[in-house]
Amino acid sequence: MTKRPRNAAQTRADILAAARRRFAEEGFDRTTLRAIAADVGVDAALVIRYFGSKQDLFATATEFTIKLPDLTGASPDEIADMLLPQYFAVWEEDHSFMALLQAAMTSRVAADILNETLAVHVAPTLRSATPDHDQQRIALTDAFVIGLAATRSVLGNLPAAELSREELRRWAGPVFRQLLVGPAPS
Amino acid sequence: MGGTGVSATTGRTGAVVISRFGRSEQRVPYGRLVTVTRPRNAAQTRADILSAARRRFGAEGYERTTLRAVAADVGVDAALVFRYFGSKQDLFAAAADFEIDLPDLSSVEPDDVAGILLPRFFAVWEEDETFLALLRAAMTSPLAADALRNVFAQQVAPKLLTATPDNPVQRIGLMGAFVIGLAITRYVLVNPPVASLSREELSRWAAPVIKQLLIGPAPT
Repeated sequence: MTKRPRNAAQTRADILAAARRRFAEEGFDRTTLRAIAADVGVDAALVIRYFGSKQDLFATATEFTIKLPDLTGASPDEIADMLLPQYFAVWEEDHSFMALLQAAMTSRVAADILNETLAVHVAPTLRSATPDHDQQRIALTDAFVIGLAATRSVLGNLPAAELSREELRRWAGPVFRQLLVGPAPS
Repeated sequence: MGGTGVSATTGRTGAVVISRFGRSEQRVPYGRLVTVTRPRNAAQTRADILSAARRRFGAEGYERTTLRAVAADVGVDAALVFRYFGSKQDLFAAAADFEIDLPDLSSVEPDDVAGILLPRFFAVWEEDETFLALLRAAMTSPLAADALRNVFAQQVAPKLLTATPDNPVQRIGLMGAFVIGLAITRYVLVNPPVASLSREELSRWAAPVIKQLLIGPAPT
């Protein structure tokens, strides 16, 4: 085994980074604690001691924070601008989220964690804006957001990936507005 | 990896041999020779292989799928898969090849565009497994992502283009993201709020978005 600096915090961070790579590329089911440990040059027992089971490690490695502002009383024209910078921070900068989204494509466990995150951390904020039909409005907003994240950050090769953040903000704005606060379709 | 399947034709104990009459003879562990009769129908076998390939590529991604595993799912030899389809990359191309039949939209009323597109999207999403297999594989494999991009660029974008009055890159880009997001949340994540909507409800709420993105006023 390679000699590593005796720095528990760094080792934990290295294990989490290796776990995100493995879970994203190979999915939840096929990833092993042993492979992650080998990537970092530590023993699998150390990974278990730090993080517990594979599912525990997955939960820790893909835990991401999304800080959405309270939208109560926000003017319809401002909503997209309040939300988008927070979404960009998650889609394009948070490796935990990207790993979770990729793993969720082939793993029920991962998909359930992502669904739970949307229900617990995203839906309540969106609900502070919706005047009616909460479920439909939030469902389609989530679909749009996941589609933007997938095309820009994971697939990276469709036309949506070529747009600057500013262009995307301009074009996505009316969609957020329609879905969250626009007139309910007849 | 295609080569791993070819060696299995040597007929050694335990291997499955495909005769040219479309039957496979399989030596079971205790040495008895069993003839598994498969329907002598090459077209059906090809279809079964493609269907198994879609399941595997969709569930395990491109890199991890092997011709051997696909062959085993169908009960044939990997060499047969190789003979029918060529390399893994060729098999993937065949399994992920699908037609999405979108009409020319240039003379369609703005209010009717979503109503024409949505049933065709549902058909692609729900009526065969090809698109979802390709979508799942694309999220973890650059080669599959390229195949998805080609479908979009060759079959979807040109038709959407016939509806757009201006800013085609922005309109088609966001439209593509919306459609992919609906497919991922409804069929892959099975996200409860999205998956529990009826087709009709989902269409009702998606229609104004599609209209805005493709033909609505360009944002300032």
